[in-house]
Amino acid sequence: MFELPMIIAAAATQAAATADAGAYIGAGLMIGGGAVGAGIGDGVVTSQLVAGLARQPEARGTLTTWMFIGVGLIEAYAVIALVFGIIVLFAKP
Amino acid sequence: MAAHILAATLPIGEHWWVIGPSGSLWNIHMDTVIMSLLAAAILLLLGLYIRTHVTYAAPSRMQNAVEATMEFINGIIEDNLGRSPGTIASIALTLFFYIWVMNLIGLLPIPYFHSPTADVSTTFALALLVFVLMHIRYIQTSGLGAYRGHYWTRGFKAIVLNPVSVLLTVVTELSRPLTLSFRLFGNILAGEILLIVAGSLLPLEAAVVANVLINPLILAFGLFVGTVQAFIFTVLTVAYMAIASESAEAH
Repeated sequence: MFELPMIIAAAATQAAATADAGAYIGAGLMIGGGAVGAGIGDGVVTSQLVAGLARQPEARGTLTTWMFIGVGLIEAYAVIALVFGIIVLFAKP
Repeated sequence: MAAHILAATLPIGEHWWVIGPSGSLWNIHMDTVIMSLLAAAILLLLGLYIRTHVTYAAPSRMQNAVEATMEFINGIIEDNLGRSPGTIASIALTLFFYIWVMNLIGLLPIPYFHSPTADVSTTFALALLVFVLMHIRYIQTSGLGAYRGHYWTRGFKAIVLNPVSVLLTVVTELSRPLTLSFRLFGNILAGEILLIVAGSLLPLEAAVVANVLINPLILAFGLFVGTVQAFIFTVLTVAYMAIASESAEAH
């Protein structure tokens, strides 16, 4: 069996097992919600980019630059949700 | 690469050299400090090398690349500020190259290398720097009176609106360094976690498959994300400086 670098300790008591289950579900919801939001936002930005390119193909450089700026800003919150999910999953505060 | 699996024996978010009580806020992650000093040393050496070999006649490829990057970011600054870049160009370009090199160092298959930007201390320090610079720019441009005028105004009718205005302005100003730091930190940390997971996904006997197939994809993704995030940090810094530089009559 391969070894995960993170040792997931077996929960000894019922309370610890509930906390573990809650952590897994919570982290899954956080990461999933962030991914859905980022997907919708990126889709809107890219669709507007394609519409702008269809109107004016000469503006390719400027429009693509602004698309990357938009994607970076949109995925910020998805990534922040990911970081919180990882904190909940492994550090279990 | 076996080095990734070796480096993967560290738990996520742990540092291998910490000065001070571990687990508390008041410790120094010396491995992050060493990595960021290494990134700065690489940048300095690169800059000195290009500076001594600069020619007008037939520029080398590296000089071309650096000049193209500088022109690009200068163009962004001109778009946002509306006038020729001055001090802000130095700040923006330094931030871009430094954050770029810091993001990319973590992708090298050398054991115990990790990106200094995968540590929230580094990114928060950079965001705090931008925050302080922005407020100094505010005071430089409009003077202390207009600086206070962002928050509240005199007048009878403004007594009800002042708390709202103060609250909104404080929240806006505070959210900027927070989102700047967490955006960069989260993206680079996610890249490193991907590397660790890819290294440990298959049993060690099949590690060759991981080396050849999965690692290039993840490295390419990490490269892309590192560049984009450095660029976003720079663009946002320039935009905040532009907001801070507009004079009071422009409203």
